[in-house]
Amino acid sequence: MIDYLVAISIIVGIYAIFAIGLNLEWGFTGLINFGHVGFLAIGAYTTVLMNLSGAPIWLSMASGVVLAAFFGLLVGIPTLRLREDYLAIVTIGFSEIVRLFLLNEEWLTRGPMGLFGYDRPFEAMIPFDYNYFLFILVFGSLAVIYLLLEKLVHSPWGRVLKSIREDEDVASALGKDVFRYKIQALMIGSAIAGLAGAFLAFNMQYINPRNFIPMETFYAWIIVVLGGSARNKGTILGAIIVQSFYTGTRYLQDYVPLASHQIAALRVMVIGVLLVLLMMYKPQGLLGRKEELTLGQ
Amino acid sequence: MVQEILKVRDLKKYFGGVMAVDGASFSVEEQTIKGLIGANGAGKTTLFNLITGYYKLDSGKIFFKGERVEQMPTFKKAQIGMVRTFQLTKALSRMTVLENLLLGPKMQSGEHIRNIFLRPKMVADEEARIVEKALETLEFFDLMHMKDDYAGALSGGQKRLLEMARALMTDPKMLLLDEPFAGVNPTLARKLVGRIKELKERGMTFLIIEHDMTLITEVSDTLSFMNQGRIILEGAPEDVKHDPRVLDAYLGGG
Repeated sequence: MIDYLVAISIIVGIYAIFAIGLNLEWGFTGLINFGHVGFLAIGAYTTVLMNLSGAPIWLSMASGVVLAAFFGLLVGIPTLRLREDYLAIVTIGFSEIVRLFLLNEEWLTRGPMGLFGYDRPFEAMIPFDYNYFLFILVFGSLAVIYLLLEKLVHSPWGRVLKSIREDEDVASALGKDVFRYKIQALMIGSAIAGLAGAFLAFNMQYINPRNFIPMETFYAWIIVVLGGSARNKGTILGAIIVQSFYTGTRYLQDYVPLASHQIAALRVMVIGVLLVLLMMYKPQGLLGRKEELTLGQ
Repeated sequence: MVQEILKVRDLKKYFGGVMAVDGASFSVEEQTIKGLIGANGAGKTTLFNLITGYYKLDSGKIFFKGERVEQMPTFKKAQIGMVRTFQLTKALSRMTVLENLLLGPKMQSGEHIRNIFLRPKMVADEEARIVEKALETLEFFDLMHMKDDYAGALSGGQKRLLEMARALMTDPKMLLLDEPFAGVNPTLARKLVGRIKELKERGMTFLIIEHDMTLITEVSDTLSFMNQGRIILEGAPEDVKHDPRVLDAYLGGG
């Protein structure tokens, strides 16, 4: 039972990290990133590929994070000067390009067969069940990221991000280089997604391009919106609810007389219904502030 | 010696086939207040957008403090001291009134990520000074009691005050105000006129678009009258105000 809770918790933690990066981009800066999963994929594959080619695992992880941030920069440069809808279109295209690249460039990624047999941090040195260590690693990272982000969003830097979210014309009228801040938010959000990707790889011990379909991006969106945009605590709560429900109901088939593919569909449907109910009764999200929705522009 | 802080030469801007600004030229001398008047659609706000860089101009030259600035992005113009407000007020709704003001000061050390972590003391000290200044400014603009409210909850007139207060927090060399008195109650509007004159004495320059003839005459050193995309008349407020072309535009003529 404990092992099972730990296993679910690890997944919750990974999605919380993944989504908290999106919360910086969307919740605080107002960037519509529909390709967040692309950065998760870059983090996961870079970590694994680097390690399989002989690099130590910590260096591999760091490379995954840095490369994800770098791709955030690449995607941001041509798009962040444009209005927000362009970013949405370009990012969703970008994440699909990443996935199709991973699927088709078999010389590098083994395509649909995926990758396995890579190291995990300290695996040889852990005398107890590795999942316990991974649990500590994931939640330790989440705590550090949470604290750093809270520090950032409550600083003058975070204030500028919020002003960009509210009205970027005002930010530039006051002398703020809007483009620079958007790039920074996107790079940090992407780096965090890259780290989540590395943890995802450690948790699954096998990655393949199917793990990085566009739906993963929208799970992150559901988590952010459910918890309340621009509330880092809300994002963590959202991850707990969505992932514990989603993972927990995997064992439903033992109790419900439905075929497994029907149960899979049912789980997604229930999440959809939950979200509709939430939007009807608590549109600001679980930890969001209601007054914010009633303000005129 | 009188210095021109802003000089605009032959600005043109077309929207499709419509000529919004059609060869506007004028200058604003340092430490003066210039009023810009004209009927609706004369091109005043478009002119503001061209000067501050929100629109790309089709032709013409803009000098600010002697420097060509027509290619300079808006935020850089603000950094060298040219700051504007908006005709349709832009309160940052989901930020508090105080936060709106705190955003104003330029080049804050806490706007750089590395300083937040490496020089927390410097950032905190600076923030304390900014908060103090913001509170003084709020006091003046009668917004103190709203400081922790969301800016989106303010009334139209209060949002206008907020915008001006926020712009002043940047310590601008020159302020471009787009209808600063619209929706502001008369008592406070008078007080603002006084404040603007006081800021001028301290070295600030103003370019103000305003429809209220009484207020703009009272506050301005010179008035420029804009018609169909051009400045067609400039001079002392009383002279401009009584010019038949101005009367015609404002009162409607045959």
